[in-house]
Amino acid sequence: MASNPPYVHTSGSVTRDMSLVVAALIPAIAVQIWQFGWGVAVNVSVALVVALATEALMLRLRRRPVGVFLGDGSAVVTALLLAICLPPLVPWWLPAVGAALALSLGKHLYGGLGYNIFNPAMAGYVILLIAFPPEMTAWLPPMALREFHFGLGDHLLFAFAGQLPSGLDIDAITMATPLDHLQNSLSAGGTVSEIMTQPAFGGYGGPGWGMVNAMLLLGGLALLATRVISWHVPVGLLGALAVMAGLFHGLEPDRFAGAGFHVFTF
Amino acid sequence: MSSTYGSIVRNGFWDNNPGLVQLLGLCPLLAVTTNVVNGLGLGLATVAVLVLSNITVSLIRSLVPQEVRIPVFVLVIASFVTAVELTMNAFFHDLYKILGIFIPLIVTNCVIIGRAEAFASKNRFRFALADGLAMGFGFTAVLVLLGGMRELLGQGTLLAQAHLMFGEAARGMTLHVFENYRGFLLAILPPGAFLGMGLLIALKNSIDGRLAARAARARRAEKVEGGAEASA
Repeated sequence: MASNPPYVHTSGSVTRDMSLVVAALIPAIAVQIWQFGWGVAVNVSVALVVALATEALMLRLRRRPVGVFLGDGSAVVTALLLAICLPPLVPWWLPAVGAALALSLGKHLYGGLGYNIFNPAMAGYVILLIAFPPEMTAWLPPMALREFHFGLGDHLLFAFAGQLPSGLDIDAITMATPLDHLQNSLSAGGTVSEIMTQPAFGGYGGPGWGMVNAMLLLGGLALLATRVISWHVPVGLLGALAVMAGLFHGLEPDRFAGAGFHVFTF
Repeated sequence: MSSTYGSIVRNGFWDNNPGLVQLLGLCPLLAVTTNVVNGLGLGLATVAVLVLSNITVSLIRSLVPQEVRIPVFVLVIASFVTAVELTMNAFFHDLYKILGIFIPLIVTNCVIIGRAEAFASKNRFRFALADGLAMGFGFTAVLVLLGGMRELLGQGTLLAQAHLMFGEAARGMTLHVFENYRGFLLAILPPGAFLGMGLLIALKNSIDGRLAARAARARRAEKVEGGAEASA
């Protein structure tokens, strides 16, 4: 089997690893759609389309074989990771801008797959957070806390036309994530035990949020079992978070939330 | 002589551009270019200082002993910066307040001491004047370009607050390029300056690469033609 150089070595194992990462994300994405609504699916779809288009464009500009690298699945993983970090009710251009900049600035300007010093999805997330703070911090509440109906049609209408069903107001139906909410309430003078009795909390990470994180943990364990990832980084990160949160919670339980809350919320 | 002036201008605007090639004066370049007017304001202030210091350094170059030339240049530059600062404070007070510390900081702009040392101290008055103008406006062009990119992306306008520089009559000069633009805050914030500058340098390198490739092709074609003629 002789062929001409240059050879592309990576695609086989990269494709396998990326497919497994996508598979490991599916339960979490399904639960997130169930808990936070169809907006999650809209974000995922927009991010996927734009990420693949940007990947193809950048590969073309860099004169790399588009088909080979587009099929390795890495752009799909970036799109999914970015989309599930976004609030469920945002205009369509938010995931689009995020995915385009994640792939172009976060990945290909550094030399493409394997040369990027930051995780492209997280680079895209940070860019969005810096550029559009109001859109990025207003979350639709999970199912259990909703007093209104918000279907697929409503999500599509908001994402692509900016229209809300009559009688609903964006500031009234969105809220901060539990972590943001806790921080704001703490700086307003509340104590952790008081704040934790509010409906946004409860269970580990709050209704909805805790469930999504449990599914992500499950996916992570599956990736460990299939040896796609090694244990060092997740154990280091989550362990450090849990140890520090537990330590401070033990010292001053009124000012610092416990380890379980910190690990399971966002 | 015209070729000398031509190469001075070419150096200032392209081949040896203080912003894109020498990467001098990056601190004010990145900090004030949140819009076109700020960039233009700082650029023109830099042009004034650079031209005046280049002329003065060139005129006194035979009087200044080699050993103390740097302190003398710094003193000359500091005097002109102070003069420009006071002038701006008097006539463009609002713009002066916006540009703030970056006006007095022109004194530390490496472009100015760099041109004094590398060019003005070794060249005649009229070349030093041309070099000051070319380098100054080359720097201003980058400031305006980067300011324009960041203003357009960041808030969808061009020449916002033009009245600070051109007087009340210029209020209408502001172009609202995109109507109802949401704004891309990142472009206005410091990361936008670094990203924009990186993209501008990349664009210049890419253009240079294309020009070099085209020149090489033209040379090859000439050679082949010449060879064909010789064999015929």
